[in-house]
Amino acid sequence: MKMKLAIGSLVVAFGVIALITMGIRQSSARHMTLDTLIEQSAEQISGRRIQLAGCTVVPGTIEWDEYRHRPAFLITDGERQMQVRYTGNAVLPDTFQDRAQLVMEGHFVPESGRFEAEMVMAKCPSKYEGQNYDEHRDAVEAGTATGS
Amino acid sequence: MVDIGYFALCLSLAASGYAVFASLMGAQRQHEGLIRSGENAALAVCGLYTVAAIGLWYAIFTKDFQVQYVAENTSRSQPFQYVLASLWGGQSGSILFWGWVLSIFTGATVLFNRNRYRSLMPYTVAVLTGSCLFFAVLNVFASDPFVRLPFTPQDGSGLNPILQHPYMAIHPPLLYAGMIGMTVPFAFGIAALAARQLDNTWLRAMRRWLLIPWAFLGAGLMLGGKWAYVELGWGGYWGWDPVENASLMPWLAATALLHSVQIQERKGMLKVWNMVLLFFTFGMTIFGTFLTRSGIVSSVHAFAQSNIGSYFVVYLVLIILGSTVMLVRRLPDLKAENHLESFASRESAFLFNNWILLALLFAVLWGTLFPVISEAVTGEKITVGAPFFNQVSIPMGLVLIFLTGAGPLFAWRRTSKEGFRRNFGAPAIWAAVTLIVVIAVGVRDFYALTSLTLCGFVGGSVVLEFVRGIAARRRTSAESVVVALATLLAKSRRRYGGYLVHVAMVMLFVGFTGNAFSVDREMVLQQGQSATVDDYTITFQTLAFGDDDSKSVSAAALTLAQDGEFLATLVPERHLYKKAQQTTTEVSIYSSWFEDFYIILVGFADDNASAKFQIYVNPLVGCVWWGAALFVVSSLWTMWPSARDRRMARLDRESSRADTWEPALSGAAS
Repeated sequence: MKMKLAIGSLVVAFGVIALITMGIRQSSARHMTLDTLIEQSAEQISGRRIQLAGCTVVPGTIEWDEYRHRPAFLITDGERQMQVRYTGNAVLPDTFQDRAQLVMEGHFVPESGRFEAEMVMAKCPSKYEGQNYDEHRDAVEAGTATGS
Repeated sequence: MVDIGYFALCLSLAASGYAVFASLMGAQRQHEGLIRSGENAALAVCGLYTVAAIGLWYAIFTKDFQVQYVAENTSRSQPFQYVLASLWGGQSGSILFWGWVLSIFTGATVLFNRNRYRSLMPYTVAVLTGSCLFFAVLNVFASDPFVRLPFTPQDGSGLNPILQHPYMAIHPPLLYAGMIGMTVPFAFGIAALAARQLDNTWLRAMRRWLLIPWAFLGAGLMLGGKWAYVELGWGGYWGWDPVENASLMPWLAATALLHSVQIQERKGMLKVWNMVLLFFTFGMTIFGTFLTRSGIVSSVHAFAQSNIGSYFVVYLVLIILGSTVMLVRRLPDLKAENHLESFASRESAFLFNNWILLALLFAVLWGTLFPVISEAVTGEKITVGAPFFNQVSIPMGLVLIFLTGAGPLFAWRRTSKEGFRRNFGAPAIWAAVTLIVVIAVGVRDFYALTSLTLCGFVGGSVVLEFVRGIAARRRTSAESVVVALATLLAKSRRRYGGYLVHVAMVMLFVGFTGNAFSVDREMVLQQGQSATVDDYTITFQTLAFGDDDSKSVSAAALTLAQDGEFLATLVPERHLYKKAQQTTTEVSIYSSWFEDFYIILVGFADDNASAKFQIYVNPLVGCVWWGAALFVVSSLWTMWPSARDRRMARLDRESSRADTWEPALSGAAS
């Protein structure tokens, strides 16, 4: 019975590992930030699914199509900028707006220098955590400290 | 009120520290007075935390914007019911809420067990108040919700509009209650080890207190799904986001534990395994919280990344070390009384169910942590998305649903060939009939066929169990079928309530299978123009605009017809919240008993003459919600004490009164 049990657990373990490896091979994306994406040479990233994070929407650059569905916009990490075009089907999340922090999945097209995003997740921390008063408070406190 | 709240928070920190100390000292010196004092201190923690929570609520309610948390998480124009939700809408408030709910669980544990499990209780109380202490420390030293600003803002910035939804007001508290409640069974486990009382008594206590958070967690998961479905507007209810996974994983572990505990109760096997699984379940709740709060994986759910991550690491390490040491010390007391005799037995089916549940948990964990793992190993951060999770979880889910039906058909110890035929015959026929019907309807998708066939099999197995139970009752007494069914459900709650949970699982799986047939279309319509989707005809009538204090609304009106027959007028909307300058999509859903017609207003042209819509037809999705409702009702039913449970409880009380303290406690002290 011990032997049978061992075989049984091996079968389960093997099945799970096989499922996971197959799954990862088929649906993985490489996580990058804007600076690593720009540094990479074209052949290294063309055709690879990329998850691009750590960037925000440059205010005023969102250009919607006629029905407010698939926008083109500029993203920035503070220094660099890049053109993005949304090509997915889903309606963009309600949090997508100027200055929103983005996590996108899609491909980099070297010919146009543009990122084609199939999936866009957006969050604006200033809204989820409310407006952030920490800096404001620190500034006021620093002000009173130097004043006194 | 704010100062009272803060003061109560500090006092509860002190009280929980004292409760830990008094309980442990009381247990060691076998001093009844100290133990009682520890329990009373635990009740005081509960009271003090309640005062602290009311203090913050009061500040939120009176819009005291000088309090930073209030300014950040509420605003003047926020509707009343969501003012309540602001308590847990932000970081420090949610920690306070966490501690408060934990203290309520602690208080309830003390009150319900005043005369029960006497040798376990001091340790249980010590573990519970120890956890309260952790959250009080977090609140006071790292994330204080009562901090005041040096100035008073005119208005707060408000709760995110997409969180202002009835489901979102109930979903987080339920999820929290589920995660937090896992502390109680964990505390009983530690207590059993510490008091060296490893018989079935603690197991009964643990199981009861495990069922409660398990049901809460399940309900919370489903409500979260419902919220995503009606509010987020992508036509689905589960996206495998790290935060969703973080609450799914403890639920999976607890489900495994609920099954394997039965083997220990009946056969005295798997004692170490169950203890490890219990610690693991609790560990997953803390790890999940750490995962979502520390920002080590990126998620759509934006909890602020903050300094509290390191506190959770310390807490987690303490839990792991502590429970491992306790377990190793008591290993000799955890010897199995029986061995597995045959593969074709209830025991093996349960064991296999445990493996699959844990394998699924492991796969979810692996996928969630894969960015971190791959970066550590290869230096390249690789992420996996929903397709990975679907691909991995569907086959495992199918094995699980098969076991749901097969497990109860196996006999304990071993199943004879004859018994095998007798038990599996009818469900196999049900499965075959389902398969034929489903093929006849035109389903060709492999997974969908398998899933529905297995659902037929499980349905057959549950019906068989009920038919047999009813027949057995009717042989001995002249009851009608209905009376017999009612008595079965009332008297053997664990067994037949458990089968009802299985029915709920079947319904959920049927609902999940519906995803294989969902239709997804995107179309531009002129006013007055019609289009067909599936066998529906949709006609775009007109656009309308409106305005109120907090938002401006654009709405499209469409008529929905099927086979030329008018069904409903659908009004998908877009709201623009003025304060946040944020738009939200309000989907419109027409639900028939078989499927949902789900429509989103994407946008409209500048001249308002045409508009773009996204349409999903989701078959069988109703089964998910009805299955979820049945899950909640039947799991509540299962845990409600029956006459037999009350008898057992009385036995526990009497035995612990008859016991002198010495044998159990001297074991602990040695």
